[in-house]
Amino acid sequence: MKESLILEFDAVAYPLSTIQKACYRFTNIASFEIQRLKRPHGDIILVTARPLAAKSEDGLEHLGKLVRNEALDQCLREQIREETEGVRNLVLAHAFSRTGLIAPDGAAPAA
Amino acid sequence: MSKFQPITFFTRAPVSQPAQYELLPFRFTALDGARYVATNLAGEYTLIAREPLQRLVSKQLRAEEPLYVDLRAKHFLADEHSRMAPDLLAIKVRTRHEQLANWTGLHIFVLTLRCEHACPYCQVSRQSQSKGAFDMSDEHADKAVNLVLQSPNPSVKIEFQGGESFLNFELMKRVVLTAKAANSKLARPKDLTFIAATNLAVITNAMLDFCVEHEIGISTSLDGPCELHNKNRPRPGGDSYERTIAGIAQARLRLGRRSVSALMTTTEASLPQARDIVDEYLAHDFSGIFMRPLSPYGFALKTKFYRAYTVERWLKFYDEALDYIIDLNRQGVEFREYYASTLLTKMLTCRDPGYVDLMSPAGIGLGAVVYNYDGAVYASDEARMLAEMKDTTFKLGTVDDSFHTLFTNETFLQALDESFAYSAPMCNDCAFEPWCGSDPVFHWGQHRDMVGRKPESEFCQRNMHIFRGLIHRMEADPFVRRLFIRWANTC
Repeated sequence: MKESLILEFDAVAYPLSTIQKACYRFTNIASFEIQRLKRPHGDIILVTARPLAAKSEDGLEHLGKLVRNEALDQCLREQIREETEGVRNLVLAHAFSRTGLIAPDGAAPAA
Repeated sequence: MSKFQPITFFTRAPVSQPAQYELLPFRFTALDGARYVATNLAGEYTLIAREPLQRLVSKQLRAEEPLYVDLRAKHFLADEHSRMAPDLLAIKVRTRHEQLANWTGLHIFVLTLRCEHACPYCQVSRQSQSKGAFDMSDEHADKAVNLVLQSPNPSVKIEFQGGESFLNFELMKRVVLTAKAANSKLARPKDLTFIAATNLAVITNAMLDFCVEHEIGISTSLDGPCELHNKNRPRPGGDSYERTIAGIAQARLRLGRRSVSALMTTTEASLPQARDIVDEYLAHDFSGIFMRPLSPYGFALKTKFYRAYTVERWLKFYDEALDYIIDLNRQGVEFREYYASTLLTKMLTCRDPGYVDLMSPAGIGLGAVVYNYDGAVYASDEARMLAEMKDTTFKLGTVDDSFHTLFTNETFLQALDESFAYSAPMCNDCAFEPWCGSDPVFHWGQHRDMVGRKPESEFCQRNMHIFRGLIHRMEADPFVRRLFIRWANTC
């Protein structure tokens, strides 16, 4: 029975926020400690996962796979978010323009 | 100007060349081991495997691929042939949120806490029938009516709740008459409707006469077959079921079938009886059923009723009932499950049915407001149930306050702001977010946090399971897809 699992991610390939989000998704299964460390060949993100309830070695291994896949998904999401930020804000501004929830800069929202 | 596009419009990029396109905002969530559900800003969905998803994001899709055409039609990407896509998307998002500008439409009056039933799962403490101290006063009711009519919403529904609302019938009459008179004097009278939540046990002909005269709808409780209903809803004489069934028949006779609806609540005893409960509703000629879990408030918690079953067990019960209802439809019996219908309306149309628990920004205060028997004003029915447990976090104020003071209450605005699912952790990545809600009262009750910890959230677990289940059923069976489209469009 292992008590923790260590996962290593390349800090260039994975922005820190994607690893944080991936870990958060599994906080009902384990607690996570995330560190960004300097290494001679480039920075890494080191994740230490400690299951909330005892897990077999296979169970822990499976959790590691889930976190890795989720980290990949989070990278894709980050890419979509960055590329579509402008149009997203435009669409939302247009959509809410009649509600009084969006006010011009410096003005109070409509009463 | 020619009516037709020039020939160059139809010129496609050579096969095997990736198309030139821009991504539009979308989210994705795993459906199963092989596929993802992706939704755009307006909540339109598509299913996509991981490999094409990767190619979509890295701009490797080719224009002649059916997936490309589908994604363009559903506003997941835009190219030179779809320059209007962001505008169309904005109109769809705007339609979905149009109710926001109207503000609160549902105003709940808790006329009394008194009730002759002793349901162990009841969310508010049962009080003796004789205790006038638990009745709303005339003064509070008049002030509440005044607040109701200040809502900017052109359609306002006043719902009477209890306890047993008809135990304070005199006040119900006062509210109806006062509201109608005041409404008729408005420059722009509202579309004003009334509904009474009642167990029907104490209803009389005189009460029904009044309901007929003022078109007051009836919403009652029917938990299932006789034995289950009477077990869940004890009262002196042990005849809750008999009185409910007789009351339903009487009310329908006077008000019409469509003016009488019923709700069930799931207890541990209900779990093995999913089909029997559906059959009970069918036997009494209801056109559907709302399969409801217990809420984690009030008596349900005090008596440990809420923890009597897990969310997984309830979902098994829900799935069994839903599959049974689908089979009934397959056999030609028209019947629906109302929670699924509400979700499907959000999933398959641009409309939002305005179900308070499934709104973001949260439905509290915006979708409903509660005037309690003691003059306190709460942001939702669940908020006043929480208050019965001595937690007044979601109290907006009292009927003595102005409309402006109540709805600019700092706690209320903070709850709306913090729980906005569009920016909540995990919700902001979730493909189901456009169909879901934030329910800060539920999460506060569970985690003492308005946002809640989503990986542990039963609200999240329940809804994500149901979303996935609805999609799986639709994708696997064309009959179910047609059925669900019908449910979505008549919700």
